[in-house]
Parts: sequence; C-alpha cells; structure tokens
Amino acid sequence: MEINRLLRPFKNRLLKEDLIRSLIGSLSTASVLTFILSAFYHFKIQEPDRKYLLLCFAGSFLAVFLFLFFIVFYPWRKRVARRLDSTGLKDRISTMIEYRDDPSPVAHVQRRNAQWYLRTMNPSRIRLNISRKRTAVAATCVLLMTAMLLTPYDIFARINPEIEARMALEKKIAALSDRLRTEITLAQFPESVETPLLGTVDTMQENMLAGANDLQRATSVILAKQEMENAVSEYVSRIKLGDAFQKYNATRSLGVSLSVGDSGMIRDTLTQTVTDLMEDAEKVFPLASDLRSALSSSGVDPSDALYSSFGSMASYLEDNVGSLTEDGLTSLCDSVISAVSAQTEVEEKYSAIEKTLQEIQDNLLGFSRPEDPAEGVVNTDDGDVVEVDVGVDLRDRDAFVGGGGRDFFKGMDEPMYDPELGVVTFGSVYEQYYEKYKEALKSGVIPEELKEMVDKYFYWLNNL
Amino acid sequence: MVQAHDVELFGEKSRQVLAEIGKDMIGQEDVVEDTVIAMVAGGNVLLEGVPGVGKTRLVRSLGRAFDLPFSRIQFTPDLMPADVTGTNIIEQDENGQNRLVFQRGPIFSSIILADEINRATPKTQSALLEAMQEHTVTAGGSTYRLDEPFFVLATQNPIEQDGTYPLPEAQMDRFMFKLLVSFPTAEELSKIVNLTQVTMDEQANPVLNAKSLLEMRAVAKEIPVSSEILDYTVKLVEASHPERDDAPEFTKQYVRFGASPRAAQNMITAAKVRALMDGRYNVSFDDIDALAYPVMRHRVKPSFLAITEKIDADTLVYMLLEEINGRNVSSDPKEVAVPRKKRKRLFG
Repeated sequence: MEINRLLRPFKNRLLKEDLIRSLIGSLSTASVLTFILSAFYHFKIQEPDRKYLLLCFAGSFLAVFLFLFFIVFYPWRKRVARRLDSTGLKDRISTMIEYRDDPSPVAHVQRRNAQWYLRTMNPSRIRLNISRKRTAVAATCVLLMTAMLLTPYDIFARINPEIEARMALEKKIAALSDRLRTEITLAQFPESVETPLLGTVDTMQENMLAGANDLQRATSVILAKQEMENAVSEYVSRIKLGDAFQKYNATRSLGVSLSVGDSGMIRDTLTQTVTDLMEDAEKVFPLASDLRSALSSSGVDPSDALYSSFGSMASYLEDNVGSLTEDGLTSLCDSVISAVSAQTEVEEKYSAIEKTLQEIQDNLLGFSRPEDPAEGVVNTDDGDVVEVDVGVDLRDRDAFVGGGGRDFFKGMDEPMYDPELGVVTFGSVYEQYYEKYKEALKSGVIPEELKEMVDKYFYWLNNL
Repeated sequence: MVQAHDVELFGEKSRQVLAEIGKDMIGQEDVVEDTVIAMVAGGNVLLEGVPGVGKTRLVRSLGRAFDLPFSRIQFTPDLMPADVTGTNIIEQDENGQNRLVFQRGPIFSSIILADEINRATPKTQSALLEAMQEHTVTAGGSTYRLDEPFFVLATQNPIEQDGTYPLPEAQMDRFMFKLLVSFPTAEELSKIVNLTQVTMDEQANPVLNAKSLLEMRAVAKEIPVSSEILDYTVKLVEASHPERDDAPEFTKQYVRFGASPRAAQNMITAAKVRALMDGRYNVSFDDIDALAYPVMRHRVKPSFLAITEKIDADTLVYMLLEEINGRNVSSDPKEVAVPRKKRKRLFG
C-alpha cells in the first residue's frame, strides 16, 4: 500500500505520457488507413462514401488507441519502476517492488532506501518521453489524409483526358439506362413485360460499359432493342393468334382483324360473327371447332388473357349450340376486345421506349474508330456471343496472297502493302474492305438487326 | 544473522579501506576498487601488467589495510608444487621416533601474491587450483583447510612470452577478475616518484580484520538482485557461446570459447559488493556492465579470425553488452571503441 501510494504521483505523470503517445500513435495509424481508403476511391475514380471513411478513421483510431493505451504504454507498476530507475535511481525501485514482501533485514533496508528516494523525488523529474519525430510523422499523416480527403475524387480523371472521357461516357451510359428504367417503370407495363424489359436494360448497360468502342456499344443497344421486342411480342399474343386463325375457314376473318390489330375492325368482325351465329345455328359448331384447332396450333401460352377469352368463347359455343344468347356472346366478345386493348396499350407504351432506344443509338452514341473491326463482340444476356463480322479480318493472313515481298488482298491487282512504310495503309485497303462488306451484306452473314449499324460504320469510315 | 546496521556500515568500511590503500597507490583507482570487490566477494584476481606498475605494492597494501597475513610466491620454471603447498618432512618427536610432519607452504596465508604465475610449469600452476577453488590443500593423503579469508592475487607479464606457460582455461576460470594494470599517466608517475623518495614502505593502516571482512562478505550475499538483472547477466553469458544457435553473428565469427557459468555467478556476487560499496542496497545494471569486462575478458576466448583482425576480448565483451542492451553494433568490430573506464548503463 505504501509503495503504491509513493508511486501514484509518478504513475499519474506517466499516464499523461501514455495518453499523448497513444493519441499520436492512433492518429498516425488512423490517418494512414483513411488515406489509403481515400486513395483507393481516388484510383477507382469513385466518389468516396463519407460514412465508410468516417468509420475507417474512427474505428482504427479507437482500436489502436485502446491497444496502445492499455497494452503498449500503460504505466503498470513495473513500468513505473523502470522509468524511475532510468532517472538515476540505479534499479532501486525495480528491486524494491520485486522484494516488497521479503522479510530479510537487507531487503528491509533496501526498501527504506528506495522509499526515501521516492519521497524526495519530484514527479516532474520524469521527463515525458514524447518523440518529436513521431509527432512530426503523425502530423504529416494527418496532413496527407486531409489533403487526400479534400482532393476531388476524380482528380486522376481530370489529369488524364482518356480517363475523363471514359468517365463521361460511363456517366452518360448510366444516365441513359436510368432514363430507360424510369420510362419503363412509369409506363406501368404488366409484370410479365416489365421484368424482362428492366432485365434487358441492365444487360444493355453492362454490355455498353464493357464495350471497347462505339461499335460495340451500339451493338449492345441493338441487341437490347431486339430483346425488348421479343419480350413485348411474347406478351402481345394477338399476332400469333391472328396468324393461326387465318388458317381456318370459320376464323379467317377474325384472324385478319387480329393481325391488323385495329380494335374497331376486331369489334366489327366479332359483331358480324355474333349476328351470323344468331341467324344460322349450323355455323356454331364449325366455329367452335376451328377456334379450338387455331388456339391449339397457335403456340400461345393458355394462361394468356386473349387465349383464355377465345377459349371461353369456344367452350360457350360447344356447350350452348342450340341455346345461344346475344348477351352471352356479346359478353365474350367484350372480354376479347378488352384483352386486345390491353395488348395494344402495351405495344403503344413500348413504342415510346423504342423511340428512346433509337434516340440513344442515333444521337448519343457517335461512332468512333474501333481499335479492331474484327473485335466487334458483344455478350448478350443469355451468355451468347454475337460477332460483328463484316467479312474480313485484316489480321487474317489467309486473306492475303504473298509474292515477291508484296502482299495482295485476294482478287486484287494492286498491292495494298506500302513497301516504303512497311505497313498496310488504310486508304489502300478501304475500297477492298468496302467491297467485302457489300458482298457480306448480300450473302446475309450480317444479322438483319445489325445491318443499319454496320452501314453507318462504313459511312463513317468513308468520311475519314 | 545480518543486521540492518551491518548493511549500512558496509559502505563506510569499504570507503575506509580504499582510503588507506589510496595512501600507497597513486592512480589505478579502478584496479584497486575491483581488487577490493573481488577480495570482499571471495574471488581471486589475475593482474596483467608490465613490471613496476605497483602490483606487489597493491597486495602489500591490501594486507595492511585488512590486517591479514601476506605471502608472496615468485613463480619460476623450476618451482615445484610442494614449494607452494608445503610437504611432509620427517621429524623426530620427544621419544626419538621418526614421524612425518606436514610443513606448510607459503600458500597457508590469507593473501597470496602469485607473482608471474605464467612462468611456472603447468604442474605447479595446477597446485594452486584446489586452493583457489576449494580453499583446501591436499598433501600426502591429508587435506588441510586454508584459513579464511583466502585470496590469491596472481600477476602475469603480457610482454615477455618466451619461456612462459600460458594458464590453462580451467585455471583461468578460477580467477574472478582479470584486471589490466595500465602504465600510469605522466602526472601519476610524477606523484609516484615523489612519494617513493620519502619512503618505500607502505603507509596503509589496518582498518578491518579477517572477521570484519567475512562479515562484509556475509552482508553482500544478502543483497537482493532483481530478476531482470539476473536475466540480463545470464543472457550476456549465453550470448558469448558461439555454439548456440541463437548466438549473435559476431560471436559465431570471433569467439572460440564462451564464458563459463562461473562468469555469471562471479558477476552477480561481485555486483552485490560493488552496489554496497556504492552505498546502494541493490544490484543495478550498471554494476553488471562495469563488471562484465574484468569477469569475462579472460573467459571469452577470441577466435583465430578475431586475433588476425586485432579484435581482443574487451572488444568482444563490449559487443556482447551492446547486443544484449538491444543497441546496434557496428558491423566492423574494428570501429568499436572500447571505453577504458566503466561504461554507463545502456539498458532501458
């Protein structure tokens, strides 16, 4: 107890030192970690999340502070003794603490001697061991961290025009994709349409971001448009049903009006059908039979609303061959018209989306020269790979015939290789390249949906 | 039983002894102090120095100050062991019967000066072994106990090596300290010349006796040593062993043999006396650092490479201290400056 009482003032002084040293150490570590995290955001050219930065700083500061304060620097009794001894007490205090319970007279004298020194010693004689170097390091760390935090996160993009252009493009792609998503959501498509449309937008955005040039990005948009059309046509069953209905006599006129898609025309045809059925009962069974056949051969999902309406109509005709009522028939016709209207509405809404897609393709993605036309490869949502192949690859040595150190393109009379420069000049190859494109266009190797885009590409090449 | 009063008087007594010896010895304070430490601690001392630097005078003065009997044995190549320990001689008793009587040799004294010990043959040198370690002499099948305190102070000349027999390692280890007696400075030499013009006799007066010396030894043994200092001493000795896997690189390179466990024992024993002489009642790292040189310099054997690179034992001890203190040692040992005086504690 006496020893503890004598050591207390010195311990309090060392606690101050512990506090300051722990603060310096934890500040340095937390600053360095925050600097690294911030630098990571800067290198990724991503706006840093303030919450994470704060968490990083506060968390590392607290953890390091606690570790340093209580484990590394805390003035336990032995540490206090050692520090006191280092002031010239020649290990008196360490020995006193170790032999504090020794009853021998020599240990007693030793303790008395050490305690006398402790009583006469001023705590300020222990100089606080605060390294200037470490303090300077801590200050530098804090400054660096602050500088990094204050530096705009896109500083590297600003310095490098290529990165800046890339970032601008990514922003533009993100904005366009968001616009599409918003339009799709606001259009309030049925869920069976909205889900694949939004999924296609996600895929399109990923492909555009992965695209190395405008050609690839444009291809992404075209593929997305195709995917969306597929999704919509999957929902709009009237065309499939119209085609199927036209194959049967009793349903042919109905099929024509469904294919045209005009609501008035469909209504008129249905009214005429009701009138015919009411006047001539013999037409009922053939109509019911043809309806069944057409529906089963249409390939449309039976859960489809239009399919169900026609199905109900066929059932009604079969069950009430001799007792048809006008009201009953009219009610069934209304349900058909209602289903057709819903599909027409979806088509109209989609046409707005399609316009936006076209706008993206036409106006926002200007063509820039691709690094290699043969590398026009785009990943679709299904994982398929679509190659934008215009028929020739300049790297393909099989496309050339060599002779006398001069390379000729197949079918060429003039060399496309400039011996002076030692490289194939663009001007010398363009015409042949264009001819090959024409041939490819005719032979059908270019997918229909990409023709327009490839055409634009060659138009752009021609203007170089 | 040691009393607190005895502890407190220790410093006073040692100061008196040093003051008395100081009357006869000019300079050489470190040597005198270390010799007194060894004497109180019960160890033997090997003094190495050129002739005429006061080795014999120191021993005489010690004998006077402690009021102890003193013998001097001049070691020569023809000196026989019996000349040192004594021998059995035939003697007639009152009845005219012959009988063997042990005639005590010069070793039966309290302070022995074994002058130029390396001039005697190993056989004679080894006669000292038992006396130095066990404080007994065996002759003619009988063992005789030497009077306490018993203290051997041997000298050897580092210059003349012709016709000498270097002390074997085992015997070297019996010496607690090996002290280097340096040539006095011009100022000291001047004082010595002046002093000896008046009288050649020693002036030291007896201030202690055998009993009080033994009491001081008993007090010193009771001095507490903290575990950190014990660890430090053990590490120091361990680090001098090149065969150990964790030995420092320079030890593996420059040390042939490391210090024996007796070195650690001697360092602690001597450190206790040194602490008391300094007015402290505990051993400090300073004591170990200061005593590492006299205790280890004759126990750490430099390798052939060290000798060729002129790295002596003191340099090696310095490097060991630096290593254990956690300080960086110059990669070139020749750059290491070994302080002649006691070093300040580096630890902590």
